[in-house]
Amino acid sequence: MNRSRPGAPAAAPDRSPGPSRRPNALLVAGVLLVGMIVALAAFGPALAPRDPEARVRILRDAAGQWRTGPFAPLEMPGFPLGTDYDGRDVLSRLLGAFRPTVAIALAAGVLRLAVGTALGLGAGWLAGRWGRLAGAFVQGAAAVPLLIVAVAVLYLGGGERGIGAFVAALCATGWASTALVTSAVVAGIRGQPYVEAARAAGAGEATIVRRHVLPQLVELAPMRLAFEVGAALLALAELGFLGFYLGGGDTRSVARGDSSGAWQVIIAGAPDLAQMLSGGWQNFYQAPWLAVWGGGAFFLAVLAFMLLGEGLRAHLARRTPPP
Amino acid sequence: MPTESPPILALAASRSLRILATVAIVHGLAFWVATVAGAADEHAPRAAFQRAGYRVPSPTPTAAAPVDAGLAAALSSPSPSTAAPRATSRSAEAASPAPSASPSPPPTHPPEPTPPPRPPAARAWAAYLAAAASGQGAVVPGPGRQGVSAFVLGHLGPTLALLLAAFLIALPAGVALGVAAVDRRTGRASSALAALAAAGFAMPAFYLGIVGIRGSRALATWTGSDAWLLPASGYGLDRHLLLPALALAVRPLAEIAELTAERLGVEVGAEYVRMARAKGAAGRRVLRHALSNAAPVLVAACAATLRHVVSSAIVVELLFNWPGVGLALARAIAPRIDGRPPSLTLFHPPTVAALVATWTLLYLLAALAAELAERRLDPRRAPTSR
Repeated sequence: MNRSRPGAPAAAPDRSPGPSRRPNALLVAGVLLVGMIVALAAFGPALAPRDPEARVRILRDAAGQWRTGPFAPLEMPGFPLGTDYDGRDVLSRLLGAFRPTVAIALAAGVLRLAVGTALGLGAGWLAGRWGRLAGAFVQGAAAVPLLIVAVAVLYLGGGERGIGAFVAALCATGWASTALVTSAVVAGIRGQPYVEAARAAGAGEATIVRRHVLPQLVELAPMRLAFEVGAALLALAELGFLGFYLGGGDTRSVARGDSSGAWQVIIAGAPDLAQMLSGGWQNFYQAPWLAVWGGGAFFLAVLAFMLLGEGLRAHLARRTPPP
Repeated sequence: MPTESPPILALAASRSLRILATVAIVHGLAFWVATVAGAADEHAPRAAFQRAGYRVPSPTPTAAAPVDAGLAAALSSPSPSTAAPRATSRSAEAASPAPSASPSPPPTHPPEPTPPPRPPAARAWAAYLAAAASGQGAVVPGPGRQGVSAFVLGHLGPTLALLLAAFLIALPAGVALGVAAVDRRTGRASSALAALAAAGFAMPAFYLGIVGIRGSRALATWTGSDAWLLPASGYGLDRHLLLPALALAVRPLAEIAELTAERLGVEVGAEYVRMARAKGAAGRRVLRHALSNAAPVLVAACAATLRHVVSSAIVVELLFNWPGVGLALARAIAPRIDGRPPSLTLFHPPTVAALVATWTLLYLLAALAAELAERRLDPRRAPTSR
């Protein structure tokens, strides 16, 4: 994970794990991108040039012709990213959409990390029946595809799909990957000679866990958190693709201009990224830019957290050489 | 070898028991959730579709009748008073079991004329399992009137083909990328690989699919041909397979490439590689040794990444209209996926439960196979080690 290109002069023969003075490019890129995403979440709604829920169905273009929406990007002045199927400014919606989505992902990431670490610690450390039980539980939770569980939880939560319902949906079995990783790490620590030495010196299980296991898990936590937030965002994107987003929304049919039938559109009020993606791909052939913007925003957000995670991993690997 | 086989067999047996238990629990839970969601659904999205002008088919008669054999008999038996009000029909129902004296348990609920109330999910599940065990499983609502098992089996083939194709792309490409990214002398991976891998992790599979469809369409427009070089939807084990398999392959590719590079980095620094180098072995030979030592880890990683692939496959199959288990599942659990009226299978509990259980079983069997293969492949594992 350390950065060294074949031609790089400084790093070639040196495998010593000492602190390197060269900056960790992945970490820098990840921190910058995550900062941008968080800033968008914080200030995006204030930056929006228009009301994200105002509808503009018909406009006169530069030649004096009346045109009906949805407008493609740059088709009309004042709508740089176009309008959606309901005549709303995509740029304003996009700027407003980061806040709820990122909030859900951050909350889900923290919760996943906490639950996953606790269960993974149990599965990796405990011996005998309880350890086997915890292991089976973790394995079983990992076996059911996350998307199915999330949809099930959303249905059980009722029609009002608020932030809490989504956080619960993403966490229901979302902690499983952290639990698997943690249990593998803990099982590895368990066989180490220093643990045996501590036990021989008379330390209790709780002391060993506190002194030898937890510090190593805490060291891993920022990296896991970044990956978990990224994974939660990805899951939110897939849920949006299937038509699950904040608040639900309502279906309405809108006559097409060319009398070839009606578009089935889902009218959602406040913007969030999953909703933009959902509406975008359902009208993909009529207005492909919607799916491109929504999916691209998701890609950027997930990329930010994944880069941060990779950067943190490189940082860790640099400090502690691989075994 | 003979000393090694009993542990593997014992492992397989104990794991199969665990897998069976997990799948049974998942089946029951899915049945329950589908029942609850179906009941709630009668208020929310269905009404929205009706408001939108769709003629929404009512799933209740087909959903309830095959599950409950007693109810089906009661409904199909010719009653003398066809247009009877509720009170008389209930009394006729109460009178009917006595003359017939059937061994089947009495219906769990009074039959209403048009919308029969749904039985509690647990009892419905038990009744369904009993009916399935006696050979008369539920029928999937829809044109074919297939049984649930035939329905699932019919969708399994395309899914397996798609997953196999995705891994056939991801495994060689990932290993090659990982090998290329490692500096042979120092064992360090280039950070470009980590950046690429991060992009691969971050790319939602369906987004790649959308971009692929868009590009394919642009290509068709540009060449002026009516036939798309890479079809954007439909099933076939030819060009149709390419775009969905590529979309699914990105994530495992990134994971395998990163892991290959990491393992090679570890192996290159190992004693035996230095030894082989000192004895004058060429780079390729050393690489082969290192790769064979990394193989068990790669197999385990494939199983781990399958978890994500299986989850994304639902969305990718939906996007490409690929007639696999994932598409059937998406239609059965998501009421408003593509602006079309909801599928007849929406929230049909036996169908949903069978599809979810199949999906889970698929992953668990693959994980078991990977675990067994990992044991076989590991050249360092002592036969007696746990």
